[in-house]
Amino acid sequence: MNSMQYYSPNTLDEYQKIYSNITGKNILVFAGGTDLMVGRHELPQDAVIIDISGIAELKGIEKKEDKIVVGSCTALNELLYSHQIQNNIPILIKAIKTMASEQIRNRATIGGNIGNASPAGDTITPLVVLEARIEIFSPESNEIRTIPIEALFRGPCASTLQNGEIITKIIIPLRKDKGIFCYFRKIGQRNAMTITKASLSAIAKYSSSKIEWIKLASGSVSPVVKRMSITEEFLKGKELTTAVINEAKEIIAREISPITDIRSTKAFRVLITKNLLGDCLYYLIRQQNI
Amino acid sequence: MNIDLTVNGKPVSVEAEPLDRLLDILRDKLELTGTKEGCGEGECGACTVFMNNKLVNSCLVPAMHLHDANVVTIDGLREFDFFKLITKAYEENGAVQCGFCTPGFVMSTIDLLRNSSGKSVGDEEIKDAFAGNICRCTGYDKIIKAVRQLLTMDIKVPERFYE
Repeated sequence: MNSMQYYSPNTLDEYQKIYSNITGKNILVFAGGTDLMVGRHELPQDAVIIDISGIAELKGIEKKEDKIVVGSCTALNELLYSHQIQNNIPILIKAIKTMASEQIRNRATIGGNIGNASPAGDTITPLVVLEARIEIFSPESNEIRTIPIEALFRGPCASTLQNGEIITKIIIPLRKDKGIFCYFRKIGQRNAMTITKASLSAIAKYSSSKIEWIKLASGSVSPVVKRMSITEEFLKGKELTTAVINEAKEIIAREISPITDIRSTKAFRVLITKNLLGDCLYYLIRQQNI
Repeated sequence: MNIDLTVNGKPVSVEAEPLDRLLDILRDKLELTGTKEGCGEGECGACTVFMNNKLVNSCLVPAMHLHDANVVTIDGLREFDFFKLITKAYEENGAVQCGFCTPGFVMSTIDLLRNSSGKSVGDEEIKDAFAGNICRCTGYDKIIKAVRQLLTMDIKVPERFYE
């Protein structure tokens, strides 16, 4: 490997300065590197690495009134072991527990998982149902903007980030209502260290035997992770009878658009998405009866 | 680039490219060959080491992240009492078959023993701790048996090594 140009800014300001001094080169923004190191031989020869993992502003978990703000370079294990996340955002804990391994979770960052924009990114479906917002820094305009997480995804592994933009923070609103049900489950080839064939995240409020509201997001069954809003709308205000659950399963099957690829087939993805929704709703009923 | 770091308690200085792997620095430059390369993609865990007291895949750590890092490999742990107990438990339970994955499994075992004091650890927790280690001989039952035995022994693993 030829000697690569490499920078490690300590602040966003330094990042901006470094970025504006590089012209016409392939800039590679590097954080935890758990994906990039695997493909390091395929990088363009003129790649310039900007390692953002040393930028202090991009680290940490902070609770602010009605939200939790997570720095993009926070490692997955820091979230998993954080009392703030454990107490306030249990769905994210459920998801991260199923991701990779101790070794990888110590290095991989939440910003990397989101920024890769994979439909199989396991932090994405929980953050979509939580209606998280993503803070983005642009080195060209030297400005920060905030967008709903769903607006970050353009296609499979393609984000709407451009021209050196980096994710700086993930802003997760905290809900005021108590007793919120949450669900995350993914299906892969095996239990440990597996990439999602299909997954489902849900949060819901259930009272007087009816669904007050429910938010659903399916992973790995559409070009981008998105809310299952038709299914959500159907379930709203309904009592969870077997007939309603069966109908909801048919609706979600029509709402997704899975493909056959190396990991699974279209038919299997449809089947497990339906079964995940059934599992989620029966689990919700059981929870209410305890 | 020149990198100063600490490996197994000793300060070392190495010359490396930004994206060179910690694994290659350990094996080729420092001749610490207890750490193995299996898949080179972070799946198999044969290259597991501690970096700044956290379990990592050394095949995924770039040299540029090693400035002032504290790296501890299996070669640096052999003389500890807990290590001898782990070796004995692995031997007694037939947990080493071809042996290639063993250094990685031992590192994950050390991390589990260290984090489990005062907690009840069942087979599910043991399996979770080994999510990042693959044994191609598929000797998982024997490895888990060895760890179950170790968990009954109240083994003292230091919070940090060489610090």
